[in-house]
Amino acid sequence: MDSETLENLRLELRRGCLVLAVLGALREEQYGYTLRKDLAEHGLEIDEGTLYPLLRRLESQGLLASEWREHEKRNKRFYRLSPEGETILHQLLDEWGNLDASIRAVIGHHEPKEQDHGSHPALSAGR
Amino acid sequence: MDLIPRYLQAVRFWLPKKQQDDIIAELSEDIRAQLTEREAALGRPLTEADVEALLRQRGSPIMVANRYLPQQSLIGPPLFPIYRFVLKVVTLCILIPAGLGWLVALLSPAVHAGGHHWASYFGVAWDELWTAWFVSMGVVTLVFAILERTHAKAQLLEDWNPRKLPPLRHPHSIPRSSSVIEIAVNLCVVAWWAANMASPQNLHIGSLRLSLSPAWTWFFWAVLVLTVASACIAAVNLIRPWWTTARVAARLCLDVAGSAFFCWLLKANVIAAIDWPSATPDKAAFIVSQVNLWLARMFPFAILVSVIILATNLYRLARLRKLARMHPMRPAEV
Repeated sequence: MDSETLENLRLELRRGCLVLAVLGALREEQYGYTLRKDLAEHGLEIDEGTLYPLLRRLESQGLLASEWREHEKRNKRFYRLSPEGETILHQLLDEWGNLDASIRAVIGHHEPKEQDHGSHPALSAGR
Repeated sequence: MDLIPRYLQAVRFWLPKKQQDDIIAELSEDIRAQLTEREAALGRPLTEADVEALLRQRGSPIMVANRYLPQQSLIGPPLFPIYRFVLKVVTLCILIPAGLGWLVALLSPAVHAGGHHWASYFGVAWDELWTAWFVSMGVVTLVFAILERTHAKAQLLEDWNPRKLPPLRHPHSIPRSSSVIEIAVNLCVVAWWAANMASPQNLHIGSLRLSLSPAWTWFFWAVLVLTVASACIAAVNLIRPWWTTARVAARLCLDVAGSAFFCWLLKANVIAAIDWPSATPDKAAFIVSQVNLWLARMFPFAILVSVIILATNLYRLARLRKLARMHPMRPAEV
């Protein structure tokens, strides 16, 4: 498989996960730049061109609340999870857990039983 | 160093008016935070080249602004396959008549007799073709763009019934009705041909008497044999109603032979003499030469028709061979 295909599939897989990560990270109030750094420190690099439109979309859907406030002598927009966002986050986390379990079960079911060469550690751990 | 304000101004241009201030304020703050952090990391103020590199990393203004805009399309993914299909059909409907028109013009004595060079005729026809094509594409695009934005799209895509779907197509099956008609037509042709066209000296059309050259005898037998063979293939098709490689190859051979004989006949000066009650020898000879000349002029059309027939057979043969490779377990059908 060429690297471009892998990259496209990886981006597709990440897209939904990023929403979950952003909602999860914003249980604590943060502004855009620190949120981006926070996600990057946890292995979820996200460029500003993706993050800010995503934040605006989630806010327009009522999942986030924001306010402009002065911080370190500069005006910054702080985001936090709204009560509705909190509910949705829990539901999404349940869905995430179910999906993870289903995928592990499906892959475990079709994995060769006697020979385990080449199987991914993450998949083996799930069985 | 005004690179950042210029960058923000360029992004602002592409944003919706209501959101411009809010988005630009946040973007500006994010850029400044990034610059501050970068300065701290380098331990010195940033140069213009550093700022330029950071802005390049963020992407072009239009691309950055585009991410804040809702996804829009003139014709969305659900309608697009239908749109593309209609474009192809319309293109063919314009190209095929235009192509035939060009061919007729190329061969037509009227164009040459009128003192027009075929190239000038093609130039005019080419302009008309492009105009027709662009207008058609524009109209089709406009109609689909309207459909995209109206309720007609939902009606078109969601109001369907599985029972109204087209019947299953079997690309290699031969309808028995076609075979029956083919047999009947071939037998009628054989009977009429044998009864009326056997003697090259005695062709009567009303008071007109035609004498054909000896070349006709070859053509007569060729048509007779080929028509009988065609009837035989149709009879086999009636019993086993699907195309096989052998039958397509046999049909291909018949068509090649028939086309070759017909094309040869057009060039063979087949009319030897024409006679009618008030005919003078000079006039009769002139008519004979003109008829033979016009038959010869039909030669390119005959070639064209032959090529189309042969191409159809070759395409069918290629599809059958492809099917044979894909379904090696069905030898009976190939």
